[in-house]
Amino acid sequence: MNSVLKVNHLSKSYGRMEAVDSLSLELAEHTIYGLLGRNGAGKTTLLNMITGGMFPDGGEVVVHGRPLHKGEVPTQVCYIREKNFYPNGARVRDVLQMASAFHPDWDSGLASRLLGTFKLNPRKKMRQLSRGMESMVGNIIGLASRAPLTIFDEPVLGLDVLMREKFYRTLLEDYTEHPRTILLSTHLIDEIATVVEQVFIMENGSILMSEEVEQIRERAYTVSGSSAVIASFVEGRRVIHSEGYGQVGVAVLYGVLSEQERSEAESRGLLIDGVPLQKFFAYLIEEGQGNE
Amino acid sequence: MNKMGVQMRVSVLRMRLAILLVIGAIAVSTIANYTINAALQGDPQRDAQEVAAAVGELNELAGKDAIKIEAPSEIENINISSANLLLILLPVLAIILPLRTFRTMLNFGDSRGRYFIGLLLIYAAAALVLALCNSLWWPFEQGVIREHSQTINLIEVFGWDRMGIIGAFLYQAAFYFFVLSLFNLLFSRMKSPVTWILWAVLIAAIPIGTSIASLRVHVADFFLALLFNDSLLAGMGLNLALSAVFIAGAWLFTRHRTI
Repeated sequence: MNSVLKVNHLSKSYGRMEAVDSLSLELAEHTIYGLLGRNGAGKTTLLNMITGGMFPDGGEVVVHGRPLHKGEVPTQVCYIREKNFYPNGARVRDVLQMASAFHPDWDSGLASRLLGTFKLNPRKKMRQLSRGMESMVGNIIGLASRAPLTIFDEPVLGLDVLMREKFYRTLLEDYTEHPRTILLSTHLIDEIATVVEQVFIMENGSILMSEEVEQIRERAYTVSGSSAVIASFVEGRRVIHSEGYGQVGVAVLYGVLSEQERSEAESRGLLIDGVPLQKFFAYLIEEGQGNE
Repeated sequence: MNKMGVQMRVSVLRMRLAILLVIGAIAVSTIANYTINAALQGDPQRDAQEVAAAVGELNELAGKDAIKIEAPSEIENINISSANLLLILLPVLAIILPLRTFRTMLNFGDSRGRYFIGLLLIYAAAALVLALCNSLWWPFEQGVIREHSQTINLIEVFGWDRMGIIGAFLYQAAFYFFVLSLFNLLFSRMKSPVTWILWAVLIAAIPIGTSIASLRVHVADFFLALLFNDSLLAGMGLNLALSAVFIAGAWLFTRHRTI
């Protein structure tokens, strides 16, 4: 598959703080990606550099095969920021109309339909919208832009559960009909797990893990049982997290576990179970901090 | 709507309150001036006599000639032309637009280069419209307004009326564009230390330039050439050449400006 975005050893620091530290990643066409990380992990800084809003201190950004030079903004990219800068006095329909001027593949029919789907009054002014509705205006722009590379930064901020599900469902439906590269930046992995194909987990300006969601589901597991047995079982494996309660303990591991290994562990009295993605994400970040 | 149309729309939305406030202030000022003129019934000689009498009374109270106030022979209530008051929009425009439209336009997906060209086109249009307003107002002011009240207009202050109505229009447009590009430079990248140095230099230049005798002559010559130039071409040329320098500086700022 062709590369839509390539980031090579990108760095950015604010004073002494390294917001993005020699980060590399690549996005292929027609794939939905997730960029996960806690607040302050460097996600927004990375996205701002990819979209030309900020300039890296070092490294390279290549969008659609073309290196992004300082001061340039990539074409055929739609970036929906967490904090929008739409004029407060503008009506929703005006904002959509204005956004359409910057996206050659804009689908105004879809934009109108989504206004209905998300119950947004097009005559309302931006200043009259709740935080969630504001996010939805950005999300409608992102979807209707049909840009070959669409980036959403915290798209469900302020949205209730129903609206979140509706947004992800709409995104998947539209993606199925019009495949393109979509990058969803969030800290809610469970919600995007059914949507994204691959995730980048970011912490302290670096990519901690880059895996397919299915692979994470298959490879992340917990073992619980006697602390002594767990200690011998985890030897040579990647332990993401462990905790003990007297004689018993629990460990979260990451790696391939064959059927034979599973049977052996169970025969030694260990209980093996899956890990919710959100928990795995939290443990992984904790591990990353512990390794610093 | 194309990208330029979006920039115009965003600029109007960002400027709307400021434009309404300026127009409101002009309306209030005009009504206040009219009321004061009507109340005084516009007798400049009588006003001067009253001031002289007041000074005399104060001297009597204070004893001897302790208060030294020279009363003029005539006092006139001179108002700034309403069309000139509209020129407050020049700095307001060149402060608000770079501060409040850059991020909006980039957020929509605009490039820095196109945004900057759009901004210059808006400034050019604003300079032309304001120059046209004042040029059209000027004969009306002379023929009608001055029947009722004394006003003062930049066109006569700087002697642009010597160049005819078209010459005055062109000179004004060039000067207004110069003002817009200067303010635009100063507000294009507020977070940069270079901007702060520019501000400091500009603030220091005025007192230093006027307090040192040898510099004062050059400062005066500069302003004479800029504003009171006898040659329309030379005056416009100087205004536009300086504008070009400010535009180049502002572009360097904008090119490196982050969101």
